[in-house]
Amino acid sequence: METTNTTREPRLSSAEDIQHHSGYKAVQAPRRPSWWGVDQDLSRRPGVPMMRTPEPWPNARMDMERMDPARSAVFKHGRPNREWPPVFGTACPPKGLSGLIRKWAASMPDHKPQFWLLKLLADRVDSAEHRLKKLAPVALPLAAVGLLGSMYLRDERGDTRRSSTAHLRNAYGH
Amino acid sequence: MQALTYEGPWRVAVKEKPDPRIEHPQDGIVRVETAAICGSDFHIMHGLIPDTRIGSTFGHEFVGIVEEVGRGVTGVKRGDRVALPFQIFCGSCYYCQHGLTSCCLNTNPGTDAATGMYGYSHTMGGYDGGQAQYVRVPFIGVDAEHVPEDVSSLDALPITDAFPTGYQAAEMCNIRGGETVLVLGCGPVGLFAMWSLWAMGAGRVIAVDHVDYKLDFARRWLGVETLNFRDVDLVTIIKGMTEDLGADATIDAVGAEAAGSPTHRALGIYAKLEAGSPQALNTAIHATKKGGTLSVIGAYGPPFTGVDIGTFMNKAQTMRTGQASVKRYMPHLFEHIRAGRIRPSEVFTHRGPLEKAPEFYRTMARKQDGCIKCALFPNGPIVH
Repeated sequence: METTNTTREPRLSSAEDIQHHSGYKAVQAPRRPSWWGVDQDLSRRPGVPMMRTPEPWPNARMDMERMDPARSAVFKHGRPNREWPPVFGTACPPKGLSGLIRKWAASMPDHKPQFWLLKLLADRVDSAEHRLKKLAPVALPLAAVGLLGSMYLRDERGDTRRSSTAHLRNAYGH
Repeated sequence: MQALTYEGPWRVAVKEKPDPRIEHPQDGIVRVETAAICGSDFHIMHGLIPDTRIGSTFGHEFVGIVEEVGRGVTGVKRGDRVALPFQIFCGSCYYCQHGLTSCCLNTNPGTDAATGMYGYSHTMGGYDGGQAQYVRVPFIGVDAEHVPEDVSSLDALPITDAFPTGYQAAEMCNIRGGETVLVLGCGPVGLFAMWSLWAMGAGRVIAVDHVDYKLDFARRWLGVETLNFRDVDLVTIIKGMTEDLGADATIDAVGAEAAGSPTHRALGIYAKLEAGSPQALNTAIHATKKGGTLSVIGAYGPPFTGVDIGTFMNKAQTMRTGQASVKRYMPHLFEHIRAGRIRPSEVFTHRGPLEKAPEFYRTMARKQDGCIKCALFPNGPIVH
C-alpha cells in the first residue's frame, strides 16, 4: 500500500521561519541544489522495485566449491535444518572459557534470545580473559615474590603467625 | 601486516597480524589503499554487537588494489583498483538473484539475521575487515566494482557503504516529489540520505542532530533546514512546521546509540538490558504523520529493543528497513560523481595513516574537532 504521497506543495523555510520555529538565528536559508529531482523518475532508482526479476550477478557461479568447516573452529547456529554456507570467515578462532560459552550458544538456533545473551556473556568473559592475560606478566611475578617472601619470613617452627616486634621485646627483656 | 585490532570495549590498537590468505577458489586478496571508520564501528567497539572477539579487525569500508585472486575468480585481475561493498555476497543465491545482496544466504553461518560483512564481528560471519593493510575478499569476482579512472579512491570510498545506505534510505521513503522528510542524524549516512532526498525531488529536507557542528556541516554542504533537539521539543516543532500533521517520512540514520533518552542509554548502552537505545526510532514514530513512512537505516543489534510499537500501529505507519544492497547502487552513484553532482570525499574531515586509527576513533566517538568521518591510508599516501 502506498502510504507516502502528498497533495500539498511545501515551501522551503526561510531563515526567519527557522528562527521562529527553533529559536536560533539561521546562518543561511535552505536551498535546493541545481540538480534537484534528477532521480525523481522511479526508473532511475536502482532499488525500485526492491526485488528484481531474478538473475545471477556477473561472474557468479551456481556450482561453487565449499569450504570445509571441519578444518576451522567455526560455529554454525543451531537451527537443526540450517546448512553450512559454502564460504565463511575464519578469523579469531574461539578460545578459552569464552570459546566454550560461544560453543554452547551455537548449539541453539539464532531465533532464541538465549543464543544472543550467551554470546554477549562470552564477549564479557573474552574481555576479562584478555585483561588477565595482559596483566599476567606483571601480576604473576609479583605473586611469586609475595609467596616466596612469606615463606622466607616463617620462623623455624613453621609458625606463620609472627609478630614483627615480639622477638625484639624478648631480646631486650620487655 | 599492520591491522587495527579490537582490544576490549572502547579499546582498539594497531598491531601486527598474519597476512590474510586465499581460503576458497573465489577469494581474492586486496591491498587496501584507503579505509573508512564508520559510525556503526562504534556499536561493535562498545560491545553492543554479540560475538565481537578480542583480536578481530574492524573496517567494512575500503578501496584497494587486487593483489591476488583464487583459481575460480573471473572478472578481476591483479592490479585492478576496486571498491568492495561492505557485505559479502555470492551472487547466485535466492536473495542475490533478486537484487538483495545484503540478504545473501551463503556467507554467514552464525545467524540467518544478516549476511556476511567485513570486520563486523562473528555475528556477521567472522571476516576480518579493511582497517588493515590487506583483506581477504570472498567472491571477489562478483562483489568488486571497478573504480572509474576519473574517480579518486577517496571519492569512491563512501560508495562502499555510507552513500548507498543513504540513497536506499531515501528510496525507502517512496519519494514522488514535494514531500517533507525528516532525517534524524547528521552523520555521513544521514548526509548522503539528505543528498539523495534532494535528488529524488523531496520538497523539504529537515535535518536533526544534537551536535551543532554537524548541523552546520549539513546546512553548508546540502542547504537543508536543521533542528537541534536539545534546543527544542522536536515533535512539537515538527508538527508546527507541517500544519499539525508531521513529516511525510522520517529517516532514522542514528541507530542503536541514539542520544536524547538517559533511561534508554542506561538500559541499552551501559547495562545492555536492551540492544541499544531506540530513542531515534521512537522519535521518528511520533514525528511522522499518520500513514507516513519510517525508513530505518540506522544499525541495531540483537536481540530486542523497546520500540513504541503501539503508536506505530495506531498511526497506520509503514516501516521499511534493511542493510543497503550496495552493489546495485554503485554504478548509479558513480554516475552522479562523474557528473559532478557530489564529491563524497568532502565528508572526510580527518585523514591519516593507519597508526592514527585509535586517535581517530576517540575523536569521532567524542564528536570533537569538527569530525564527520575519518579516512585511513594503511599502505601509505595514495596517488588516485
